[in-house]
Amino acid sequence: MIKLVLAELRELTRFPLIDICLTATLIMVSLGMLWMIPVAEPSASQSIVDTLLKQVLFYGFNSAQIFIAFLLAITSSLSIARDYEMGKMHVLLTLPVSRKSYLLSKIISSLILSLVASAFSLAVGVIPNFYFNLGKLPSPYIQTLTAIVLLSMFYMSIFLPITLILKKTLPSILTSIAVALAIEAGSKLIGEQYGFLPTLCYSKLAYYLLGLGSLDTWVFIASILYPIPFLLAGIWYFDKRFEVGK
Amino acid sequence: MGKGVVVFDSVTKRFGEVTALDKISFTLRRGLNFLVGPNGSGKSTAINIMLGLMKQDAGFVEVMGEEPRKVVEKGLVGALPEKYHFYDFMTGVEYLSLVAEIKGASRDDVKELIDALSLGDYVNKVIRGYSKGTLQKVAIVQALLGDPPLLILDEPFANLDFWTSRKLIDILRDKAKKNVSVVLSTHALSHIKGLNGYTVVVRKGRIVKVGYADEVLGKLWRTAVVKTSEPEKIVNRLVKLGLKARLSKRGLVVVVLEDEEERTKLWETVKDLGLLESVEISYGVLDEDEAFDMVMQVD
Repeated sequence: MIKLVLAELRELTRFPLIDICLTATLIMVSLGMLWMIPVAEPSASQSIVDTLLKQVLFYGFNSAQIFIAFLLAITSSLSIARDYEMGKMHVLLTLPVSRKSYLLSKIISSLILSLVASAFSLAVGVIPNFYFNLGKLPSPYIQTLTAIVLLSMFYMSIFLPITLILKKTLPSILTSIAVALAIEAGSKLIGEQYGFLPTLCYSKLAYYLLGLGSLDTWVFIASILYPIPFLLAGIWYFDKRFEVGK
Repeated sequence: MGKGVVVFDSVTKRFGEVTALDKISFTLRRGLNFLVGPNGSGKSTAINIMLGLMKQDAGFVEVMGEEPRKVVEKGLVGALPEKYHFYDFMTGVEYLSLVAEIKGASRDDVKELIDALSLGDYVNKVIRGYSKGTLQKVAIVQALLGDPPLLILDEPFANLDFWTSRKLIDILRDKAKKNVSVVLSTHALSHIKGLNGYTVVVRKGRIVKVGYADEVLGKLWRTAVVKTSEPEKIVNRLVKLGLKARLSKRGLVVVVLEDEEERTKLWETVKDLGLLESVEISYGVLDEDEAFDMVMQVD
């Protein structure tokens, strides 16, 4: 399976992934700047440039990482749909490779990549932070990375069954985006009293990543547990019901 | 259940309203086996079920005495599926070495098969730039790697040139002699001419004939399908000459040729009618459903 994971990693990096991640970072940084311009009031000791940079580092890079988690999860499901459409799945599943190994190699390679991309994005934030001596970033780096991987896994766990049922690239992507937006909208609409819902857990996680709130232990545990039923359902469906061919 | 290499018992497979396989039963044996029929007859569906890629809706399927997927996962089957795609950023050698590692074969095996199928220098180039024929060769090498005891190949001659097809036939014949079972599907009967394998002829998801190729395919092997602008003229002339010729609804001339003399008569007729430059004659090709039906009906 290690060989498959390595091959999948090489395949995944052929998607314009790095470009997407960098673009996402830049977009988020720009959004961070736009957000801060009307309220940024430079103090006597701090120039407006310093203030803006600080806010960019606070809001921009962390937001970019959430976006990256989402993009990587989409890329992972996209690669499964592409395998099905092109015929690579047909080939791999007629080799001595179990269906579980095939799917796990996809999941593991995507998680590795999400970790690398998040670390890269974080590094982009950390380096100027130290250079300009702007102070501490909102969340400890290791925790941020862990949360990004969890978020990636959550998105992946819900995108996986969608892709396996729809099988085709475009419908899978559109449905996955719609579901992700519904999760986001759900967390806004339902409200705090239903904090146990995955939507709100991940919303809290996102807020924590943005440095806008604390993170309860139970939310963190729930964040780990929530993807599991979806992932298991996806793996079960692929193993028992999924048909390769027409 | 059965003692065959592949057993299908009352197997049905539907795709929505379409019945791809309709309660078909056959038992394939050690050695060479052919699954033949026109396009859309259900051959690939049967192969996909044998490879564990699909599950039948009803009936019983057994490959080497086990459930198909288990046998494939154990590495006992060398497969060429209907549709394939590889890690196309890799070179041919890189990809085949990866497959060899997965199948427990050596790099020498890879090299040997690359030479046998004349892949040549292409293997050192990135797969993305390969022609359809070269991709087919890579797919065949992949199936043969690891010397599996059962080979299941869906249309293995597609996109191959004449010489490579001949080489593949030789390889498969050798494999069969070494107790390897081969199941291959094809709609182009000319490729398997002379190989007296156990044959299942399918048409619209049903079995038309079963038996050894010589008896089952004799008539089909001798069939010529003529595409021409003047089909009636050719049919009338051939019938007058005593040949078994018929005109299909789609304007194809289907002729069952008994011997070389009749073949010569066909060409002479085409020449006499001044159609030599516009005519297209194919032998033993079953890609027209209608032609297939007509041949099976000709006495």
